[in-house]
Amino acid sequence: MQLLKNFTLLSLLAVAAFSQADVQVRVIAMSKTPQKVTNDIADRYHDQLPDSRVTLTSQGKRFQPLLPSGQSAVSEEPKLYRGQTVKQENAAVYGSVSGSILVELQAGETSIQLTGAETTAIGNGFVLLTFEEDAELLSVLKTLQSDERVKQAELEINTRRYKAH
Amino acid sequence: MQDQTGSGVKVAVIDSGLEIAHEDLKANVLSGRSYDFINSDNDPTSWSRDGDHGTSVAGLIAATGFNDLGGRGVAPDASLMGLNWLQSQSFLHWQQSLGGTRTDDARVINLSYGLDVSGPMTFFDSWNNAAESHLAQVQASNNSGKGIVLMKSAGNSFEEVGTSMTINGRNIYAIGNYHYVHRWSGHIAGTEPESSSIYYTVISALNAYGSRSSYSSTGASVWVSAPGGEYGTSSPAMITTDQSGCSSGYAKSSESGFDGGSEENESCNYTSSFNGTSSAAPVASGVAALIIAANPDLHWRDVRHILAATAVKIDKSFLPVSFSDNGQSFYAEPGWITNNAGYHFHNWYGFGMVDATAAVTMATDAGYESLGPLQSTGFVSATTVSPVTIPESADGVTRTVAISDNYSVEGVQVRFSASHSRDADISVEITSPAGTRSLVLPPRSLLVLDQDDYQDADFADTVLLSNAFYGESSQGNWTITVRDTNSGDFNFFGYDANTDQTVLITTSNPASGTLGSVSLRIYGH
Repeated sequence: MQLLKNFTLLSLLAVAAFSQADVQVRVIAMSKTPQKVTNDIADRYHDQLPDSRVTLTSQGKRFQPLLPSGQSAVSEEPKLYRGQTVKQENAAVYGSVSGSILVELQAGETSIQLTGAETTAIGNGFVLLTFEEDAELLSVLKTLQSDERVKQAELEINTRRYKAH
Repeated sequence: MQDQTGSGVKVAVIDSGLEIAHEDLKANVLSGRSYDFINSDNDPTSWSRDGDHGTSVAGLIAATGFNDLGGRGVAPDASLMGLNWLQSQSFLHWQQSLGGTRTDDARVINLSYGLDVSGPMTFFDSWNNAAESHLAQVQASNNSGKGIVLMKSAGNSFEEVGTSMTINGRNIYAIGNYHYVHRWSGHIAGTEPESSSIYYTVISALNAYGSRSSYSSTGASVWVSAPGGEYGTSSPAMITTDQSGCSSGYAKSSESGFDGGSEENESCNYTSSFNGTSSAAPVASGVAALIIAANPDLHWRDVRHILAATAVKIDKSFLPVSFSDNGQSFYAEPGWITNNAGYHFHNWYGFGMVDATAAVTMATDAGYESLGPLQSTGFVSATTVSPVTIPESADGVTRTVAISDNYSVEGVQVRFSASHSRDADISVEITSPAGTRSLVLPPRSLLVLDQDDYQDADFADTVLLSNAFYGESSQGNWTITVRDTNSGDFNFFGYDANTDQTVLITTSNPASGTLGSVSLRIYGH
């Protein structure tokens, strides 16, 4: 990111007195603003609404899959597949369904396998199940969450949040 | 330097890519060991036209030396593998890249990337729990139990942090530190969970004058600092390898001077404008490779120990950053401390600047004794557990954690939950039984996600790591002090994505916060 330097407040700001409102926002002029760190992905999905019937939680954030372009609702049962785009609730953060589900096993359990899933053991007590594109992931997730060997199962939403620095 | 060049040490660069055929890298690139997660092949050469971060990182570690081409890396004979995980960012590929199947025999892994953190994060979501479990296994078993030095950049967010927020209806894509002229850090490295993990070694950046690079994130989780340069305009950046040719890269025909293909760089195969903690981490990775080449029997923690023990105290005239609120004095950055074991520590620099010569000398000392197995107390709860209001005072709220295990401390993690309508007001300080104090959460950072119109943000099982107690005894009563440092307004800049305007955001302070649970985990030997 670029350095903030040589900022000058507009005269508007110079004469403004701050009140005790919770949050106040004033426009100021700066010689440099930082490079945009978000890309234009929001523009790409501007005509796709979130499907409010489905809420996915991943890494503590809540996401909803996007409906097909131009549609506000679909009649079929919601389905979820690898590669589908999701949007974080109340934030301009978009991600994709990676096709993996992280499973934390109950104590004493060492593995779990599902047909059509590639299984990768992660450390002690975790398994990553990776599915092909044709696997319907909402039903798989539901199955896993009701499996007594499973302590917790969570879909991976990949928001590509890491940045080179 | 005892002729150490890093020969025989495998270093993995987990990044955007690696130009494996680059003229000054190819001799050190391990055949068939790099990986492109997008195209599923062994050539992660970037398709970007605007520079390949990983190729430049790799050059700082192990550009070939003494070949009349370009420059040389810190460890010019180390072996390189590049994995473009930043292009994928899936958890499966992360696991493969960090000591999993694709890098299981690497001795050093460079991680010049990180998160933009604008609000407190939990350490204990499923993914980080799994990641920690994986890394515990890797550090205990890879390379016959010697583990891997995971060198991670601290971040470039001292002044600005990328975010996605809505404030008073404005779409804010980045936030800036109003107080940067006062040297208050906008980003505390340890607020990123990975940087508060014991398994990583966090590196901050230095400029050519031996003090903090203007952008470098800071914090008690920093281990050591290393040259990372500035922007290459009024102060030098780093020179390293770049994408080959003048049609792509940081250096290309459209640039000027060295990066524009001047006489010294007609091929445009090198750049003189690379910087960031992205540059500092690979310098430290190179030094780690030299240490391991000098003594291949060393454990990952031995390498860290040597880096700490030989680091050079810099910026000795640093004046503490303090401020007053409501007639009371607070620290935003206390500066250098000397702990009870004799180690110097600074939140900006860790134990100081890496010293390759001294480190290799120590590594080859016949009298050097390995640290032995890593021990942990597990999280030990404070003796008082009921929630309490955090007063706006320098006294704050204190919690005591009694530790019975007697280890030589390697790292201390505080785990806490607290709510406040303005997280940036909160500071957290740990005091050891010996009286050493570490400001593990300096106040007035850019933890401002709680100012979002829709998103909540509180400290919920947040974990922050301090390295400041290295070498002290773990046994005794530890004190955690949580303070609310601001009774007035708080200002920060926001950058509006829709209008490209810069806005000054002023927040008032309507309510006191509450401290919930507090516990401490100590790693040592």
